[in-house]
Amino acid sequence: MKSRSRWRVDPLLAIGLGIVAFVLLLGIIAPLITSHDPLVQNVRARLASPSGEHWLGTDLLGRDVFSRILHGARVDIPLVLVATLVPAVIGTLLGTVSGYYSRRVDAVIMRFADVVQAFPVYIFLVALVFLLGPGGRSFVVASACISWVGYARLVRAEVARLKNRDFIVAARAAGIGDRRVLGRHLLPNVMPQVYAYMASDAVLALVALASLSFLSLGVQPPEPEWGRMIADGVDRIRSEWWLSAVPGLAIVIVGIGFSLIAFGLERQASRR
Amino acid sequence: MSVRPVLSVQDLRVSLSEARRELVHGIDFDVFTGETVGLVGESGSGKSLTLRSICGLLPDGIVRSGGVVAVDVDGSGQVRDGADLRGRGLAMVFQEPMSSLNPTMRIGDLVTIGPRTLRGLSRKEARSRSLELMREVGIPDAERRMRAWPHELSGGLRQRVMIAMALATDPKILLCDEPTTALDVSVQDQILRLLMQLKENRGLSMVLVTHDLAVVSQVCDRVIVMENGLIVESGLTNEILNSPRHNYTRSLIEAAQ
Repeated sequence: MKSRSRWRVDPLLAIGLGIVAFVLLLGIIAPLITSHDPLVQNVRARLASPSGEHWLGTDLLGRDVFSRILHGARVDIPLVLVATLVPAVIGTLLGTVSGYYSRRVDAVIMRFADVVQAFPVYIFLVALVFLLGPGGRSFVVASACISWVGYARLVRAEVARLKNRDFIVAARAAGIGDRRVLGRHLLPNVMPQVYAYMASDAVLALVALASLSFLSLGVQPPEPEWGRMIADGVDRIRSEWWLSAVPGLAIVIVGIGFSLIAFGLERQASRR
Repeated sequence: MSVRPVLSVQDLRVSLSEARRELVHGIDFDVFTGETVGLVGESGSGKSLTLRSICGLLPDGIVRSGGVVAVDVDGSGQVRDGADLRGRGLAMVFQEPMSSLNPTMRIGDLVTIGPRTLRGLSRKEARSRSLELMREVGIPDAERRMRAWPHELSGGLRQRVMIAMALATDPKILLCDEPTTALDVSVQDQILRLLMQLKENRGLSMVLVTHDLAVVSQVCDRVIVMENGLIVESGLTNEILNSPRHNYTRSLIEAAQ
């Protein structure tokens, strides 16, 4: 019966995956759903209210908001995924080395982690992106520089906990080399926690990307990016409130999706 | 019995690396080909540490602080340290068959990983080798069990899987750390008989750590009695169990009755 729970997908995980996949899918098939190009400006039709032609109206430059929201999914979600994956890989590798090998290597990596962690995340992120020059790639690089710490600490603790467990010692007794022990025996037992952490990290990455873009440091116009769209609509918040509210809602929905994935994965990891 | 020991432990010392406290105080013994030697003593006597230091698998914070573990796997007289021979002549069977099997791997993969990595067998060769090994250790319905997860097996079957894993590398010396302690009495007997049978068929030498003198009398040719990190008495099993000279041995025997 335990073997089945292994493969049973947590309902929250399923819902979360469904939400994120659905939004991403909307982004991918956006050109099929809407006939408006998200980048084409039409000054005569600026700030139009929602209508049959423009479902969510148009923005200050007369661009179709519905189209921009859908296309925003193509910009935001992939960037968030990459900005989550890269630090996860780096952090997992460093954490593994730190937890498994000598204390000296461990000390070096962990002091380095302390230094990174000493800075407030957002200030560090803004400073790094500013240094690297605004843009999506800078955001990914900056995330990689900062977010690996969480993974490294998590993986290090798990590896250190597991490495003296009987089955690891037994694998080593069978003459299996360190790398194989790590890859086949240790990491498969650590990865469920890493996946759960990645999903909750993705929420932070989503908000960070939107915030940076809001501050003109993230994805650059005219690319349809949700945070940037919120910023663009701020001046008209009293009359055309949907200009900011709808991209905000998009962020919230995807954020909830990632949170549910994180929650589901955590529950699944702890059940085993 | 050849004259040269297959395993020779000389002045072995094991210590806590930080406190510099010695736990095993320089012990000597030899194991000859085809022989089963029992290491007995109560908890904390250093018998498990001795066994683990033979293959260089001491827990974190504990180190071999002195002495020699000379292993002569092929009887050529060329001696190597036991720590370098894991999977190449030395293998170990552990006490807890549940926690000693990786919960994230299927039985077939667990048994196969040894031959695959150390001998570079193909997936198919490794599979048929695993089946052979699983049959050799008496796992019924081996074909189906290859796909099972460790938690789906009984304790006795798990211990058989452990033994199959150990045999996968064709060891000459089998180190057994309380191989039957975690099992039911009836299963204990089966596992011991399996070990004896494997020893006969493969010409294994075995070092068996246990606190169970019944196990010792059943399988061991010779016994080494340890107390507080020292050997207090050693000799042929019959002699030791029937006429113990040392007080500690006597109290162990009395405690067992």
